[in-house]
Amino acid sequence: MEEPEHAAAAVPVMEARDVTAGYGKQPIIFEVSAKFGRGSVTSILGPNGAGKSTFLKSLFGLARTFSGTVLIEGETVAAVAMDLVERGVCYVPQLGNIFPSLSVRENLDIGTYVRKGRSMESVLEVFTDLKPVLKKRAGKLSGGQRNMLGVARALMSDPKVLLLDEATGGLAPLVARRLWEHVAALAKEGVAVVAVEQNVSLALEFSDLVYVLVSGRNSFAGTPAELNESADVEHLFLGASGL
Amino acid sequence: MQIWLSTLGFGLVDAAVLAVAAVGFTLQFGVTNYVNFAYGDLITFGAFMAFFAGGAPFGLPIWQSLMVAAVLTGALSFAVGRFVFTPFFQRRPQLLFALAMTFAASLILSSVWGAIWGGQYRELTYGGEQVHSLGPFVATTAELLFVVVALAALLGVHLLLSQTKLGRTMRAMSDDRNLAIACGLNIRRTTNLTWLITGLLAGTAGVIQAMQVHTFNTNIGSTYVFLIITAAVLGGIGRPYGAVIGATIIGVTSQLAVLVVGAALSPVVVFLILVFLMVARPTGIFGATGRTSTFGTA
Repeated sequence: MEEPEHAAAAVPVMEARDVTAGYGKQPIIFEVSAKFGRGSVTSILGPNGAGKSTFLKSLFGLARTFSGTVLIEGETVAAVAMDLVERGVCYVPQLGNIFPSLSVRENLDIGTYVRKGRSMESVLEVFTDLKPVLKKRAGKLSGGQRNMLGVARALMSDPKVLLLDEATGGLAPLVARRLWEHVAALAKEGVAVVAVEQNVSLALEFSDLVYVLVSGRNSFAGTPAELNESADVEHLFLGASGL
Repeated sequence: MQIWLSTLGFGLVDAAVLAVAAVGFTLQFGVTNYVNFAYGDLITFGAFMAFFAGGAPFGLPIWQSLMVAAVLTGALSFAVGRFVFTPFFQRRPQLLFALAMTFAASLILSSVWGAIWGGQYRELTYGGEQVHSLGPFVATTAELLFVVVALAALLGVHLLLSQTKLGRTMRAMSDDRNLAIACGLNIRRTTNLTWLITGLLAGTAGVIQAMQVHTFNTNIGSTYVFLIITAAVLGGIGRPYGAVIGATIIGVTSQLAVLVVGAALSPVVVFLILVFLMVARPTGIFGATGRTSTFGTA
């Protein structure tokens, strides 16, 4: 498929080339390529079961990669979580994204153990909702606060790339929007944000670039505006997802 | 009334020693997620190391013997964890294999201890038989020192878990191993150090327990390990603070039960309490550590 040549992806911080990945012996995504640019928000969209989360996990070594390469700033890397975090790539899972028995402050602290980055104050300036609950056990937080804590913990290491797996899953619409506003603010500071998102309208509103996966294959790459105009993708993606 | 209060005091001494052992056991479970039946054999090893360190030709004072025994038990635990369990668990992560493996390790270690040291009883005592009254409680100097050592060990664990990177990483792994991996935390190093630390605690508990019962043989750990597991489960397996509460309940009730049903039936009362508490609260008082990570495996 054609590679998009948008300004945001011109100098990719992270790139996937023809990645085929899955679990056990079963590939779920096939030859997926994508580029993620500094300071841009990229959304991975697609119907349920399209392999969006698997793609994100394969970038981080949490799914089995059968073939293809992952590059960071042009250099091929082994997708091993510990090395990637050191290089500035963070992954925030959809669920289980906090350590429930640790306090909010301890959760944030853990974000600095592998790669020292931002001060807690600067992270709390972005995620102001967490300020009053710093001493609370993370397991006692609301769904929205948990997801924000997951992203905030990743932010503590001053990442270059932030991989978010359905960070707004299960959140009330207003809370989801607030989280996206935070995420967009991070991108403005230079972080390459890659988000798997179920809420298509929110994703389109906040993204610079969109990839659509259908049945494990990349079926669209372009800007949100281009996606809206594409009749073919409307049929493939929107038809398949029943939106 | 006085007899009840004194008995409660004895129970608290038992509880303090049991708490040290149970915290070690539960920490190891929390971080590695495997029930280690060989833990009792580490306790036996600790008791014997203190016995030999204190005897000829070394003749160390009891407190130095305690430290030597704790360090040697820590080293043994580290070696068994690092070179036997970890490689095995990486190849066979299934729970049943792991259980069989720790059971086998326990049988091997206890057989080796039996072969080397035989079945005869040894004596490990710390003088201090002077009796003190502390409000309603009475305790010997030795018993007070056991409690002090136990509390110092527990305070050490508390500071480790709450104030250090290693401790927080251990708690994080205990909460959600997969998320700990995704955060890039050093899982291997933390696991190895956990074996070492839980060995230190097993060694310490072994020495105090041996001193408390005065005479012991190579069965000291294998009989004690059931109480340890009970205390850990009662408090919520994987929860260090829960293990302290579990140990307190067991230590106190087993002593008080002696007054009511006699020494022979006292263990029955303890295990009945376990059964009833498990029915009422299956994950223990503090809730077991979460094992249901939701985003796949690494």
